[in-house]
Amino acid sequence: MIEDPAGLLSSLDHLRQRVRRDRGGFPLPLALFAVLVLVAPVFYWSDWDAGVLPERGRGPFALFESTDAFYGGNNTLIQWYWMLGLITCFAVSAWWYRRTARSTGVELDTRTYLLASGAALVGMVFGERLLRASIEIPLDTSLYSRPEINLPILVGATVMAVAAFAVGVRWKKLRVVSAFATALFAMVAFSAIAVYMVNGLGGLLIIAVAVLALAWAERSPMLAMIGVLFTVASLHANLAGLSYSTVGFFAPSQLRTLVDVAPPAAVLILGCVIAFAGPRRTTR
Amino acid sequence: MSAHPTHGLNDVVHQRHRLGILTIAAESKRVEFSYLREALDLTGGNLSRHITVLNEAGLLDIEKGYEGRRPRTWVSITGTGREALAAEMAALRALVARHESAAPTEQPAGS
Repeated sequence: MIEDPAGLLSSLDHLRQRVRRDRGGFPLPLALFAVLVLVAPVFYWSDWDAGVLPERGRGPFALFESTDAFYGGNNTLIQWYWMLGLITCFAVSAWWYRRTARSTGVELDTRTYLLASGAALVGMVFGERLLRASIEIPLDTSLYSRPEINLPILVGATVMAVAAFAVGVRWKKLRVVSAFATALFAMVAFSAIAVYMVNGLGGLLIIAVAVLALAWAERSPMLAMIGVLFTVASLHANLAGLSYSTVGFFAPSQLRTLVDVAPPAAVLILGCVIAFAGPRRTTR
Repeated sequence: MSAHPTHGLNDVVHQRHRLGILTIAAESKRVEFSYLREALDLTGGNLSRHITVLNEAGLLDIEKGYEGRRPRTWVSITGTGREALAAEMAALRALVARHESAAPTEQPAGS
């Protein structure tokens, strides 16, 4: 290393870049999420397709209910698929980074990634139900059609989460309190967002949070870009989707879901391809 | 008049290899001894001495273990280590900024 301050700072920056390259490993999590998203349509069969109108009811993880279930009944299988699939993807990703560390010698801190993903999962799956139970039932209304109630909750919780996060970044001694407060407010914000995810593809948004959190943990601008693109594609799939304008409302559920999840899945696959074509780790 | 940026330099941290160790450790949850040795191009004995100094100053934690039959040593940066590194980087940047702001006043010979 060079002794002058500018040279020293420059060589430290090179070291930092080398560590970031060596500790990275996001192609595998992206591939896992892509497989999870692409296989999901297989489970989106419904009693509606069979011409049966089952009893109305919500399953254990209603965020993942398909549109048909929303109109007719519930499809418990798809709900369990998303729940177990997401937890498995998060766990395998964390294991993957530990395994990578054993061969490279440098380990990524995945706590932020796991905390953010967990907050999104809990907030969107369980928080949304709690929010509905605590507001919709007493007021006898629908949060979905009352943005004047839901949007202030969403914006307020988001602002508080960002503020709590900034406190943790600025004052390191408050990191634990900040992490707790950030997760709590983020869960409330995710609960409010989940109210609008009526297409049954809320799992995509949880993956979007996970990808963005991973980009922060890896300090990877490229992964952040993939995360933003994926978030946009996921929001479109949840709020509108391509299926009605392409295959139509009367196409089988599985085909419609496949058309809706294809753009976000394509973003993940593209991210994998770009990452594999990118710079390699330092050989040891 | 503000103090010269060199007053902000920490003797324990400022040594270039120790600064390198802290920089690498700050970018990871933990880093293995052999990775540091290769990245910094140091001998095992030298690196070990630097790590001991940083550990005794409370800037690094050391974790020794085995993977199969192979002994492995991992180091991770402490909260104090992060603060010390941030202060050192700030002092170095201030020093560079001071040099750069002083440079235009120096006229080349013969002009």
